[in-house]
Amino acid sequence: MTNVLLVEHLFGGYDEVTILRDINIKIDNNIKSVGLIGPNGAGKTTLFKTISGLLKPKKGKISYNGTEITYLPAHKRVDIGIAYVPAEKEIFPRMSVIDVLELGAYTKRARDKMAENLDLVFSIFPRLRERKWQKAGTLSGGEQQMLAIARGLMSSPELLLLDEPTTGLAPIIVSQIYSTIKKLVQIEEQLKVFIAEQRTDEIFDSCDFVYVLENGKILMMGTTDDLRTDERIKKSYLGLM
Amino acid sequence: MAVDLLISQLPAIVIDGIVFGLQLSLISVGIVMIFGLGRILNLSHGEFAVLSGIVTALLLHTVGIVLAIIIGIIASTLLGAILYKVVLFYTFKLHGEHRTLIGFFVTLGLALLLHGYLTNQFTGTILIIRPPITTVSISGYTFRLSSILSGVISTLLLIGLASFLKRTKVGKAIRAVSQNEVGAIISGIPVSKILLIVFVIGAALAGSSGIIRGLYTNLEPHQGIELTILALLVAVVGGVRSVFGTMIAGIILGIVYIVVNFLIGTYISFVVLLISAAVTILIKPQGLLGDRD
Repeated sequence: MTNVLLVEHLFGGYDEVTILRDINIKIDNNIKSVGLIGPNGAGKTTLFKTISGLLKPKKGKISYNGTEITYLPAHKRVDIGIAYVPAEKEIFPRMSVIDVLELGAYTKRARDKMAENLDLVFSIFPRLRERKWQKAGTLSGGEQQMLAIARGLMSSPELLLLDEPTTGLAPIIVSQIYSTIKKLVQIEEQLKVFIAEQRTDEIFDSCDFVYVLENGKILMMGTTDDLRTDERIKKSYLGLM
Repeated sequence: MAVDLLISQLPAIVIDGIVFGLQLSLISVGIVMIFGLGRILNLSHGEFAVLSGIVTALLLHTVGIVLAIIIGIIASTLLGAILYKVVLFYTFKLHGEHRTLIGFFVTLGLALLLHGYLTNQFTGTILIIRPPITTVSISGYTFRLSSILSGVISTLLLIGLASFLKRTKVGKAIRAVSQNEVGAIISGIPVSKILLIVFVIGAALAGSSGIIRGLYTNLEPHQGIELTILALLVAVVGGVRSVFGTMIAGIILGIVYIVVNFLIGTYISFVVLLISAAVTILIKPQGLLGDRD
């Protein structure tokens, strides 16, 4: 069985700075949702940017559905089903919500499914339907986060990378976003979600498998159930929450 | 005395200013789009106008006006594509201030190179296109048909560009890249292809602008640098992001330029335009229409 995502001995970072050291990650077909937890500065965003192609790896190999994509340009990765939703959202502030969503379906892969995907994102984020004609830059923080996730979904992804999807949001919006993600994983059979978070509780609540990243290295990994009872996790992560 | 003359000829002068301004806007939108997308100020952009004009002038009497114009526009469009692929593609690989600075030198070099080549090789090649009917009368005033025609064609091209950017998929992708490059990449938009498209559209519009200039006045080989500078001013005053801002800025600066030119002289009108641009930046740093697009 081929893995959806396979990261092998990956080293990565920015120009002179190596942040990620010898990262190995495997997402196979039995897993629906994977969490990546770790403190600020652990390298979670660097890892997601490298998987999505925004950063070139320094060493190692990334494969997707059995094909090596280590140096595939970022925009082509969207076309094979990898969608990255960055923590900074990176929406188009002076465009209407509907235009942003349509641009999310820019690739060949997504073009034909645009109407279907639009129905999907409007059903899970009804707020976006109400704000259809509003300029994206005038949306609230929570709505912009919804729009960023929705734009990712418009590309018909098989692997959705969500980078800290709830940073800076009010607690009620946080639980809304997480219940939407859980619902999404249930309705979209083909979809795998990989979520980077500092909020350990939400990850343990919504993911099947968890990686713990610290100082650019994978410190631990395991099924949610196994890690939940791990003493080190309890002490350094769950205890804090 | 000059003022009396100005008042009696005001409608014609205003029309001339509008026509000239719109012609500058056509060059300016290319500069605006390339800057908006790639943070590179293309200082060679006015040369595209001259190139199209010269090619058209050279062919005008052998292949007929329609074909001459088409080939003229194709010439600058091709040059735009080649320059992007061969020279600027590498500049766009740089980041931040590096890209802007290197882009400044590269496009300045290109401007001087093209300027030198065009003025040396085609001295005396001047594009003049005159329609068979010279004047039209509108409510008692007489206007030159060529001016009206130039203004109408420029306006149609600018409106065409604005609706292309607003309505088509590629147009929206262009705006997306200019609003957020990372956002565009993660939407699956091929940024370097979009830059090429913008370069080619910009070159085609500048080329059209050169030919339009031949319609209402003369286009000469040495005018590239002057057109670039004026178009840059229009871009700054219009706010480097919106097509309509660029259009309105072009009209205003065009009228100011022609009126000052009429009253005092060419070099002063340049100074007045520079002052207008400086004042606009001080009062409205975002340009006339601000951040709209």
